[in-house]
Amino acid sequence: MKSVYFSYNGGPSLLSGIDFTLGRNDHVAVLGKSGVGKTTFLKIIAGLLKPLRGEVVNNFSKVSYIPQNLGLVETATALENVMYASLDSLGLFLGVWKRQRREEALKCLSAVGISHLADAKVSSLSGGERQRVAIARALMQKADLILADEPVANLDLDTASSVLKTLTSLSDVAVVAVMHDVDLAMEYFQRGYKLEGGRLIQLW
Amino acid sequence: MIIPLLISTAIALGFLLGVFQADYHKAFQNLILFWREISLDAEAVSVGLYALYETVLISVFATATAVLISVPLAAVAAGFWHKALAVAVRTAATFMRAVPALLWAVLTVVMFGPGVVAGAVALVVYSVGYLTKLFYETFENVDRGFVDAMRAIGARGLKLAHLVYLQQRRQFITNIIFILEYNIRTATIIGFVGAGGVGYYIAQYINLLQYGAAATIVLTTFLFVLILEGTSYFLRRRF
Repeated sequence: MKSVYFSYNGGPSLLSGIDFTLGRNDHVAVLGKSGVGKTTFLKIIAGLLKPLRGEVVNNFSKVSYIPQNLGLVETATALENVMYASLDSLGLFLGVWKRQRREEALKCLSAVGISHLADAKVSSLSGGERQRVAIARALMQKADLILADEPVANLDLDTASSVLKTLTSLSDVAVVAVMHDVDLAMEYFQRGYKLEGGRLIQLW
Repeated sequence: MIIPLLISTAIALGFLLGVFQADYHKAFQNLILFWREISLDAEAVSVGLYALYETVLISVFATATAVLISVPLAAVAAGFWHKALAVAVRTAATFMRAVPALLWAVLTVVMFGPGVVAGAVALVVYSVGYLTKLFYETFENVDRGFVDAMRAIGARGLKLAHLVYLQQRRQFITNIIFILEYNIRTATIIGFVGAGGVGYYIAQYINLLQYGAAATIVLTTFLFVLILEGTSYFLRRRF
């Protein structure tokens, strides 16, 4: 993205001339205090928000955004949640689960280490397990860029490390994660930025 | 502050309406006299059961049809497509529920003649107005993060609406049970204007001064509503 500016409804500027480049397989952490615009930054990359000025050029074929609350269907199983990513309107409406898609979804759950929880209701899963379902859903989309908003915010240190390890070891997937914990971010991400006063400052 | 205001309003309006001048002694005497004349009617039980069967048919048909119509209308009203369409659907739904079901029944009895068809159509119209509002509010109350995530996985229009439905399924079912209960209660009333169901038979018996038979049907209806409340409680817990 080049010289991106953004503010909500003419309010104070959250992003003031951000320049940011992301390569394939890059793993980037964005840190900063609450309310500085980290989520907004992710949503602009995801195309969910349009910048006021500046340019966003997306060379990734599929971008998947995982919001802080994960956006999982609570009443459905882990496997169903993953499959929702690939079903069209009619398939979803008729509840048609093709065997091929089911196997593909199981592979995605397996890639994040929770294939044994395929038939468990999302509402019964722990924080770390839910996070993994959301990552599996992104894989089902064949995403080559995952944007994760606070992926480890409410997890204990061991679970957080394990989730970040999963997230950053996916092959051929670039990751941008918004985080608070600098130590964890340094351990798992190649690059780290701090968002402050509408500017993006590279930390490492 | 609010309680003294309510008390003074009630007293002032009570005087204005003449509530305090009514002859309550005579009113209770009338009630006792009426009660003594009532005797349960064995024949009326079978008429009452058939009337309830008709009422349930009208209500279930009206609810099922209204749900099928309201879900897509609510998705449009929630703004999943065009904003102008959303405003149009909301306005139409407001009109449909602003006119009471009893008035819709008068209109449909004029259109179709007395009977169950008039009742069923009247309840479909009113239920669509009510359910569309309940459903689009449910669509709107869904967490913003969830909608963002669904948009990010490529869900638009019908797929987005369906995923939101899955997320809010419990609320949708609660709304459907609520409107089913409402329809059953209303189906007993709209019969008084000729739109079939229990009310129709009660009105007939009252016109023939057969208070015993009318009271029997009222009692049967009461027992049925008790069973309905129990079933609805069970269904809500189950989902």
